[in-house]
Amino acid sequence: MNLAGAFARSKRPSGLIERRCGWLSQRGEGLERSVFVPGLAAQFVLVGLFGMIVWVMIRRARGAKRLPRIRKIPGLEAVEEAVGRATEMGRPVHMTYGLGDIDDAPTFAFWGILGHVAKLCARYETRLIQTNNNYLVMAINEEVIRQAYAEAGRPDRYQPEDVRFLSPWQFGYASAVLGLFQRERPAANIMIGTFLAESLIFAEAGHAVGAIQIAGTANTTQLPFFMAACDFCLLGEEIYAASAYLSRDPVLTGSVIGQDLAKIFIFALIIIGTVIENLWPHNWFWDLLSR
Amino acid sequence: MAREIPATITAAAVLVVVFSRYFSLGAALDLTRVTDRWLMLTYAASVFVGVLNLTRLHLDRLRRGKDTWFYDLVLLIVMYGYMGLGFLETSAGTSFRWVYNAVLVPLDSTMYSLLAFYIASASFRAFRVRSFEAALMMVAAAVVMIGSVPLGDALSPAFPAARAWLMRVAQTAGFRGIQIGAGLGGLATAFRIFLGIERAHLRA
Repeated sequence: MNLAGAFARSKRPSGLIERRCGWLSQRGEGLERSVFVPGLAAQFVLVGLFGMIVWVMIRRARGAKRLPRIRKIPGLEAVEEAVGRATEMGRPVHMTYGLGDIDDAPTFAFWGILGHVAKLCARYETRLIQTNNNYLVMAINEEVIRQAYAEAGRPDRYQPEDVRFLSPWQFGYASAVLGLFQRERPAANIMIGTFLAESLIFAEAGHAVGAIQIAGTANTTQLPFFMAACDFCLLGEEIYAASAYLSRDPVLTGSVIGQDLAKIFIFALIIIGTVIENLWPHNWFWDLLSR
Repeated sequence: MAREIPATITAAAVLVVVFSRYFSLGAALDLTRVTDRWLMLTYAASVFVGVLNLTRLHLDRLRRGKDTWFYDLVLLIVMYGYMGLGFLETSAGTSFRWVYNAVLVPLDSTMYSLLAFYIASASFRAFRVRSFEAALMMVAAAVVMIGSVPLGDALSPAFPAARAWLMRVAQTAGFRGIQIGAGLGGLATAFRIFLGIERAHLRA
């Protein structure tokens, strides 16, 4: 279907529209022969298939049908223990999402845990310090924490000055958090999100003040640092299961199970593709997935 | 309505991006260029609001006479001073760039250099042989460290070869497995947001 070309060929009296169609025709060169952008059709189909699997599991969850259970994730089980420890010691809890942005998936995972931790802190009357390097995310964090305190029946305990914008610079933010750890001495440090080199700085600063540390990131390059320096570490996809795991909401659980089923499908595809490619290089299967 | 409107806007934005990425007509229309411009404007506004927030926080601490008043004052002077210099000279100005190269870059390097000591202290704590997995990690770390320095090659060519195999095969396999899982997790999160099921960020 040559829609881009059709725009160019359509008879339009106006000069503005002709120029626009001409531009579209130029942009359409190379794209004229297919509905999909060349090389992305298979990706679109796979993403659509994945979405369907997730949707089916969500429907099953909504219909109260039986679903497999999410296995125990030690890092998430330890969240309540960490907040309890901070309460006993009379010291605050610190939470950060690292260098995440408002359009990063790990930041959404952070919000799931932030709401849960904020509710626990409200219930136990423990101070929660949440540091930020992105003001857009901070604006949402303020609302999440305020709402969590309200839902816990303690809206008076919410302290706006404990949700702090420190710096948009990576190491400016890291040094500000270092200083904050030395002054406030949090007993629990929860780091879920997107981290780069500052991950180890946070983890070591938390260790220096004796904080129990729970960390999770999808950045594979930072996972070894968290594994070495933190008490509990959530690996990659485990952070995305946090919302479902902590809330025990069946619909969210259904989506996590759909995600796992899709992963099994992807692995099967990898194994089949590897075998076929080794036996018959550049065959129809390779062509199909390259479209 | 406070949740429905943002969820609807989010779903519409997802459809625009998917249409632009996967479909020929969408790519030809290049709608993501428009949305990228909107995003840049939003970021610029957010930096402005961040500056106001910092000003409010530190002025409040100055007013209350906290014991960190000196650092609050320094922060405000430096922040507005550098901002003023940027307005006067633009980012291509000599003084502006001098301050950046002479102050910010060394400070960044200093913080980054802390990692060398932190890696050593974290490794000292982590590499304790308490179980089979810990012993395996310790052996792998030792092989990689020795294979990375000229001493390892002098001792035996097996060290660099083992290091190369560990980094190229074992590590890559593990990382790719985690990356696939994380990628699918991100995709599932995106679907939940698109369908309006993930609403942790819409508390209002």
